[in-house]
Amino acid sequence: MLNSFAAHFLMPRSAVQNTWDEFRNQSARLAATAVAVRFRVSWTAACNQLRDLGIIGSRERDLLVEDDLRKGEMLELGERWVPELEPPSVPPGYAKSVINAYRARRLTRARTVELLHLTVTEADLPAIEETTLERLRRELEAEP
Amino acid sequence: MTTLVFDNTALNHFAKAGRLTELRTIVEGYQCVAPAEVFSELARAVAEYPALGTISAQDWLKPVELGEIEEIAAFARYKHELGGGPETNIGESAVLAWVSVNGGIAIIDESAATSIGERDGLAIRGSLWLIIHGCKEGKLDRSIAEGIVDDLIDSGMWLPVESGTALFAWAYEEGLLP
Repeated sequence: MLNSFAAHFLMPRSAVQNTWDEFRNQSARLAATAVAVRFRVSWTAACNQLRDLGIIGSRERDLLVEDDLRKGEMLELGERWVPELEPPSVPPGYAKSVINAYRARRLTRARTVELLHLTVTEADLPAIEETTLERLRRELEAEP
Repeated sequence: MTTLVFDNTALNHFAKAGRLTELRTIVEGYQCVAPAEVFSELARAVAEYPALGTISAQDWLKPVELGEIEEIAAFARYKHELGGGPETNIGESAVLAWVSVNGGIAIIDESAATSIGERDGLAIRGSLWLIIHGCKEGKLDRSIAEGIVDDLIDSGMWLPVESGTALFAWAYEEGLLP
């Protein structure tokens, strides 16, 4: 009861819904990340509240919670999420650009961590596929 | 004769999967090399994965050294761009450097190294290309090729398909196989 009250106090329905709607067309995970970051609550608390408000189902909540939120995903949002001015820090917009380049496979994991001045580790980075069927298609179509 | 320049990953997983004999069949008609840096990376992992010790005994795969100044400068550029400490991303950097100076096709599976090499106009292919290419050239039949993919997955290699059967079904549906 107390937890439920606290959740609704910290994460009111309309504000959560607005945040969800802002990011939902990109991905459900990013939208849930935005809820956790903007309302400064844990990943599990954010996912539980989304379920309790009927925005996602129990199954989707379980799938989201199963894979813990990584620092790199919070950086990807491009918003400040750590206690401000905690050294060392990198500007959120810069961090977002670095993560975007990593997502686009233009940076290795090691180089991404270096460019973020070791504020994250490789384990904090969003998971990406090392190779894709799209790449294979290009290779096969390019062959002599 | 076209040269295939191997990075660590394809060799590593074909060896762990016990499929180096089939790899040799696939690359017939090509000159195959790997930079000494790649052999060093593989040698360091032999204690943990004894199967990797068989790679250096493959007579079709020759080591090459980055000795010319252009090769060393290219290695420095790629290593800086790929990042990491003194034991990270060395093999990919050496492969990209060698191909950028001498030509040939880099066999690399790691995505960022692939993008960076392609940006520079280098020819880059991955492990799955080798397998399907071998089929298209009639060196492997489909069932053997599918078995190789399954064995690579079992060896711990991450691939964007669940099985060899799924890969070939996709390739036929997409019109990538005759």
